[in-house]
Amino acid sequence: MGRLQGKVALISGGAEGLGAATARAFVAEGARVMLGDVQFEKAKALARELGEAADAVLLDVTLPESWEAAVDATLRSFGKLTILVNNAGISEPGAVSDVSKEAWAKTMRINLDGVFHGTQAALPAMVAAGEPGAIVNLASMLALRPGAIFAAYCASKAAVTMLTKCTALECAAKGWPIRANSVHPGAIETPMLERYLALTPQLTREEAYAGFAASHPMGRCGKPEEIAAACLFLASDEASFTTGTELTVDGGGFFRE
Amino acid sequence: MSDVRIIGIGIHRFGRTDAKSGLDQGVFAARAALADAGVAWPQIEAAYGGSSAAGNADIMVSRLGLTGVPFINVANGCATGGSALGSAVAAIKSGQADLALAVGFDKHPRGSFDPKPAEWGLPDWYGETGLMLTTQFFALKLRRYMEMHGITATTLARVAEKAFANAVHAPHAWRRDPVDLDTILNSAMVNDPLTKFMFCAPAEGAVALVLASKKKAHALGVAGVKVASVVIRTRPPGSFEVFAPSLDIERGPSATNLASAAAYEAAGIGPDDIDVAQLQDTESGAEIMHMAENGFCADGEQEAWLAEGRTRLDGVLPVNTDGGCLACGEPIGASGLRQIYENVVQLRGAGEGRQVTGRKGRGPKTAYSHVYGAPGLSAVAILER
Repeated sequence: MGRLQGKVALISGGAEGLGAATARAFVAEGARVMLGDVQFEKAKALARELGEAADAVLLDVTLPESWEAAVDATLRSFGKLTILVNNAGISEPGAVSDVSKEAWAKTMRINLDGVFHGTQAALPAMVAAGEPGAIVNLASMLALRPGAIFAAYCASKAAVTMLTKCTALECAAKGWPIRANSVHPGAIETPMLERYLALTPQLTREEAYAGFAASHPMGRCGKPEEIAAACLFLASDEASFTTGTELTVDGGGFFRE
Repeated sequence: MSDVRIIGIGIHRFGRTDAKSGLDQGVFAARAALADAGVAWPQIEAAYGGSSAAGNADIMVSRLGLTGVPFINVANGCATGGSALGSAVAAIKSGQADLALAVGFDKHPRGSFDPKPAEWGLPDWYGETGLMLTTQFFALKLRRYMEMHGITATTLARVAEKAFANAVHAPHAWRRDPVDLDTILNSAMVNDPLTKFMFCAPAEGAVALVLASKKKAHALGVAGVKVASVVIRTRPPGSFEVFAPSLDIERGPSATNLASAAAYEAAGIGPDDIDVAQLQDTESGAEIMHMAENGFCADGEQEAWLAEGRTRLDGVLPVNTDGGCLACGEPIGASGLRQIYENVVQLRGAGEGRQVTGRKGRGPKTAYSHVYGAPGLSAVAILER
């Protein structure tokens, strides 16, 4: 029997990167998965590949009504909702002194407001399911230590970390069988990292990659499957007494600037 | 404005249930709908219900519980069910209620309806000519339609044959035995061209629906079936409807035309997007005419549609999948809600032997229902999964 047998998950940003890897891991362990993404065609293609256990819905995490529609689609396709993975996020470089106000607002809207709207939209259906549920929020190693040139990203992910703890506390206090935890990836080999590697045209991809790898004590960047494994654990009943915690998956990167 | 979901359905078998009053049947359906939705009667914040011949619906609070709920009696002829539904939807959309009940039931005596001309704003002569007898009116209207658009009696018989074939698989239907084409064509003539198997009969039965705001549905952990639109319209100038004392030289659209067009517009879809339809079929010809009036085909094309079985369960647009009024009978207060019940069953994929597959073969996504009655009144509802 799969580790997520009988579970139904909604994953934001499920079309590619960490969301897609998490979706694959969840389906492999018996869950049914709704992939929410603004890249709807891409999410649909992945859902088709994953077969009967997956479906896709257009999801703009910044809009509460889009979240409502995504919860709705999950209930329609799979009859309940027991796991929420708030994965959708962006990262744009910029220090406090030079980050544009637009980039700041956009980062907060997607990375922080998106998690809030998703949690608020999903909780009623998760409570109504009446069975153990889990919320997994994708934060970052940059939520635990600063990165001077990622001011908006660091601030948004630190806020997600605290929002996760508040969610965990509320659920526990109300006796809802729902846990909430945050996962803190380092630099992971995803489309987001590729966009960063391309930002420094004076460096080759290998040189740029080496720079990122060096910021992790283990001397490399991570694989999406390594994040998916952490999400899988926290989403599963194996983590039944774990709530409000921060799980780092960053090769030790959170204690090095 | 919140969108509205149907989260619970309940039905009392149609036909004749001698031991039970209309109200008994209504209470039975209400309890079934509440159980289906997983909610208790005290949670209901607004209720709308009606019957035509079986008393006030609101007295069912004495059976369901004296919770103080606002319970509005609805009396709107053949659109009683549609009006109860429309009122419940409006209450939820306005934010007045998050959880509402719509219920309809009836218990008519045997034989045809016996409306009094004065109650319909008509002089006595109209009744003296026999036109208050609805079978007469429908036959006259249909005879004219057949001549103008080349519809044959065989096509009328095919409508009835389909109804009884579908009803075999509908536990709530009244007449559940198949009837073959020859038997239908050669049975007793009631009003030419309509034989006895081509008419529905006044009957008994009850249906209830539990409706919720989307927010409430999510809090109950369900998506429900979405009410994409519900529209009620009365007759415009130039229409020719039940109890019309004359036929205008300059013709206009029908009440059905208006309700249908407005319902499509509100739902943002058209007839080609509909996967399954329940159309008012008080007699075979009504279903034929209503196929065109609701935009599914042009006048006259029904001849080919029926011959090719396009409205059968396995056709491109299955019509009256539970046998409609022809097989279920017509308890006026419940009949319109029966169509909604059947459409929810189809959208849930719970139709078993009568389940349709939808145009794309992956189960129906949209369902259409239409009622029509005197004196030119129509209600159309479009549901979506």
